[in-house]
Amino acid sequence: MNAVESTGLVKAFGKKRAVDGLTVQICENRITGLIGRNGAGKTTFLKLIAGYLKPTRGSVDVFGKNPFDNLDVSNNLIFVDDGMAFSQSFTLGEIIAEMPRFYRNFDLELATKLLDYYSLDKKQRTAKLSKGMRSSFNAIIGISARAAVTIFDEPTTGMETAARKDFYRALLKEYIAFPRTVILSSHLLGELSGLLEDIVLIDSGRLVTVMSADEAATYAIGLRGGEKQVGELAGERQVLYREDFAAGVYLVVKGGLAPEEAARAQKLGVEVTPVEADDLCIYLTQKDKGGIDSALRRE
Amino acid sequence: MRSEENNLRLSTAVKNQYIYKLRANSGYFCALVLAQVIAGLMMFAGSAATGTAIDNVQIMFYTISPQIAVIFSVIWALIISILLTTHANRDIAFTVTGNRKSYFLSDIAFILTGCVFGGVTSALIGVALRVPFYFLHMGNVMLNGFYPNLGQVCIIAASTMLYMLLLAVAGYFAGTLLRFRKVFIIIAAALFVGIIYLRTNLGESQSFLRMCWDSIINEKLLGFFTLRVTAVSIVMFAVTVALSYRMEVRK
Repeated sequence: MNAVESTGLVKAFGKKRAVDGLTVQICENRITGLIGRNGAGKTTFLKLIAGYLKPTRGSVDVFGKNPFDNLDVSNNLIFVDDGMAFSQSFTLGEIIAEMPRFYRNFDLELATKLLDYYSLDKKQRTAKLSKGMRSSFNAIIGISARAAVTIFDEPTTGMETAARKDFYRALLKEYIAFPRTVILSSHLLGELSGLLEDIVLIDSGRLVTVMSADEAATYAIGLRGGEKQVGELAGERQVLYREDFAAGVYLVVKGGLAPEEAARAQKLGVEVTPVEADDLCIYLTQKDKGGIDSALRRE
Repeated sequence: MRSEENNLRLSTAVKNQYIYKLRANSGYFCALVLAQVIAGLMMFAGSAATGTAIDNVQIMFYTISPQIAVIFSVIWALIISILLTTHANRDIAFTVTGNRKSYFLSDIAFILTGCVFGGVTSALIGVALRVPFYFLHMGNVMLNGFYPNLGQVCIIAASTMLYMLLLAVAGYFAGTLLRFRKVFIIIAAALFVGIIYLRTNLGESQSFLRMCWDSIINEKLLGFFTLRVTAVSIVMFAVTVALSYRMEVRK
């Protein structure tokens, strides 16, 4: 079953369409990464799912219900972002103690242990936390809530590398112990590659592609060698990225190579390399296929 | 999510939000009590005394009025209700489960609690003030009016609550308007000045505005006053909620 389903979803702010005709399904009890560049519409889409924003056109359903201002959806969903706000009259310890009131599956013991692990003082208040610590605290609430739909919007903003890795690990372990639908938005796909099961790639409010993490690994290949040889091998394939070198060219093309093509590549002296998921997302959402080089090129 | 037991009843959501708001804003209640104590001290220091002497007997009249405490409570209600409508408070409410209906209903419950609390404490501070008064003028307190009667205390409490409610509703309305469009700050300021102007310049004229003012603010009968304040509150809350429904849940 799909946890989230959107059809022709549009959200406009004035004339600007942050989400522009998005039709996508997100499977239940999987970890889905919503990947896109800054301003791709990730946050707006997630807020539409959370029921905070009203679609301008189209529809979005969470477990078959319209999430906007919906109590049932809100009861089964937690939205973790840096806009999470808590009263300054509460200490961190008091905040987590309040959470079971709202999230019936909230694991207070887990939250307490994670607070200790992240060296967050229970007597502190959120205003005194650094940006990274604040993100860690919000993430702890998100993980411990065990909500049927758990949304993390750029959850690791400001976190140091070690804290980010710990967060991914904690999330994965908790997800395995208590499966739920996790939607994670990020532009740092590299770090998430071991965590994500599905990837939804969006750009300019539109869907670029949906793929599983396994598909992402074989979605495209890189060809490096002389321009003529690489061009011959690439044939009619869709070119996702091109980088020119003094001694040749590096092309990223869609699809894999058949064994006989691989043999031909070897004969032509073309190096075939896998494309990292992180790079792939960059190539798929690049406005100009020539990359930054094309902007810097002097005619 | 798909089973009924996972559905949240509105009453539960309202209760959860209400308790959360009470706990989160308990400091405001402490601030009110502190303000009441300060009001008490001011009343004590400033209690008016008029005296007269007949032959060898000197008679002093002391006026003990909880007026300052009432004014403090009313201002408190106005401030609290505006604070409730701020972005920060709205974000706090929507970080946890709930929808707009539960948000408004818990706000209303919170405001009513504040009004009851403020009304009762204002009335009681007037009573409490008599204790130091008694010791200060030990043995010389003899005339009626010194010992509070329950009916009078209740009337003070009830009327304070109603004035607080009136201001709280106005504050809530103004706060929501401000969040809706910043330009309303100017309109709100103009209204505020206008009301003060009305208050000082209406005099004894028979204008429509004077009638409105009299019928709401200067109503002498508690029953009518209750009815009118309740009616005004309901209408203003309804308008506020209707306005607020034009906005997104959380940005």
